[in-house]
Amino acid sequence: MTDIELDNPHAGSVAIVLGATTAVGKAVAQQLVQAGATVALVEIAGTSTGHTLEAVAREVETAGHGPLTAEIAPRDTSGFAGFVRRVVERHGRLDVLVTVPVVQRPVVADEMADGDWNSGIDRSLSAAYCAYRSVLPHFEATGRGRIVSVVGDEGRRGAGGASHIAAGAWGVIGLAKSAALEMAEADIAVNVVTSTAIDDDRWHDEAHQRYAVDAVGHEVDSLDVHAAAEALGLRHPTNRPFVAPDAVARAVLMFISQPDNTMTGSVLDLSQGMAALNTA
Amino acid sequence: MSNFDGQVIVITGGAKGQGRSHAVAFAERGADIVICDIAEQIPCASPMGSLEDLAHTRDLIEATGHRCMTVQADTRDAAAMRDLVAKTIAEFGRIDVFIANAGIAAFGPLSSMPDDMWFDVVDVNLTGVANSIRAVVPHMIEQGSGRIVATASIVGREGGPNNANYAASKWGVIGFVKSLAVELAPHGVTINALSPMSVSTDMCHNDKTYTLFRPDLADPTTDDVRDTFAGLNPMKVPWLELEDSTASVLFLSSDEARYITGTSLDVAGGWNANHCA
Repeated sequence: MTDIELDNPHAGSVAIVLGATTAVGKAVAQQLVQAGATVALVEIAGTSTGHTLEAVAREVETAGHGPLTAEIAPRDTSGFAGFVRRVVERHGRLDVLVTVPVVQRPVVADEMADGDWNSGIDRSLSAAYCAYRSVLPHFEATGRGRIVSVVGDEGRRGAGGASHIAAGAWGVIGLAKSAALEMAEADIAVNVVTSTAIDDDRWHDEAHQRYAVDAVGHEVDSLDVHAAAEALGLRHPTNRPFVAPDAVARAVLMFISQPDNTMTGSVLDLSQGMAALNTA
Repeated sequence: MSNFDGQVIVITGGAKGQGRSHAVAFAERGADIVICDIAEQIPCASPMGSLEDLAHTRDLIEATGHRCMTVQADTRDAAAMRDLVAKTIAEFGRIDVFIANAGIAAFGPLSSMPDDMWFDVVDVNLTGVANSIRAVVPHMIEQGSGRIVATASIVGREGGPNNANYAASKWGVIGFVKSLAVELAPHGVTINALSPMSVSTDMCHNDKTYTLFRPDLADPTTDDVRDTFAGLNPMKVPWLELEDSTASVLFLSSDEARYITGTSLDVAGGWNANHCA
């Protein structure tokens, strides 16, 4: 083993990334592989968002070996548990779980379809539960593990026009903090990264453009990606509209690379300054 | 406390416990009441109300001289919640206050949690609350007024060991409530969360909960768990009485609370003083 590998907490470790076809999920998988980890990729069934699972898998393959991949329905705990078994069988270990929610269509509550609500919760909270439930017995058995859940900044405040996204994100934080407490006496850390407007395809969708513009009560002549960016820039104290997926991935890797679980139950905000508006 | 003369109040989970207490208190202050309850037991959950309980609540309300309609419905069924609102409007003409109170608890460690224990609790406590509130919101927007109170929990303000399902559901309720507060503010509708510690109901007083709090005893009694519960908060009270919870619901529903929206009111003997926010 080289000195670099000895100094690198990710070298040789094995990570499952849930939500691997999202921009953030893909960035997390890429950075983990660059850091020397092996990844296994899960897409929430029926939610392909921008990238296909095959395309992400090709980008992170190492030495000709493609990663294990699976599409799993958000409430399919046994499907997730089966995937965890496959990962451990192939790689001999599992060290890390990262969960990333699938983007939802923003919509006000009085116009929300039942399907908006159900997928809003399932593609964040239900999927995270299935993943936690499946990896925790393994982490408990080995006495070590790192979990990081990514959610939108809707998890840190009320979000007009996105109550389903907020409820899912707040729920994931409650889940993560509960798991952190249950696992605190082992070397198992559970933390959350929140991010305001991720720089991805969503801003080409009119519902997201409307959500961005309404959040600042901004009047616009025409609704497009530029109007959304301008509104987001006005909302954020830094004046920058977007957060790069790579920035979120760096924060995720920071949590994963901690030598023990001193840092557990925490929420770290990549907020373009919005965190300074939080009570605490 | 403010009176609710002529108002129409809808309460989910009203067959017994906090919901019944709220319902009777509103009726005593002049309101007509609609109570919804599933009135059957979900297997993993703490003891739930029955049709007999629901009928008894109606008797208590009618004894105050006010009207009561009971609806047996499951808050997890969004269409049933729209029916609840439609029936209420058809019968009473309006809804002034909506109390999304229906909730269940089931305890266990996350790493061995049975699926029903997670999904039933989250589906009732979070999706049920959202379904019922989504059903009433269009009516209150059209009316240009309304008060909504959702029952969250002090466990919705921190992590809940052996209680991840419940904690996640109640965190979700608070996030939902704050989001709706932003949406409803221009329409004169307020929405708040009530975040109590344990309330002296069947959800608190049952064998499973007692055993969780006193795993060292084979058959713990109320006296055995009192100090353990009391140790959770600086005021050292084991549990709230029903009237403590009801007083906060009445306040958040009152004219006096007209500019209070998007808050989580912690009624928890100072437990909340340990929280950042």
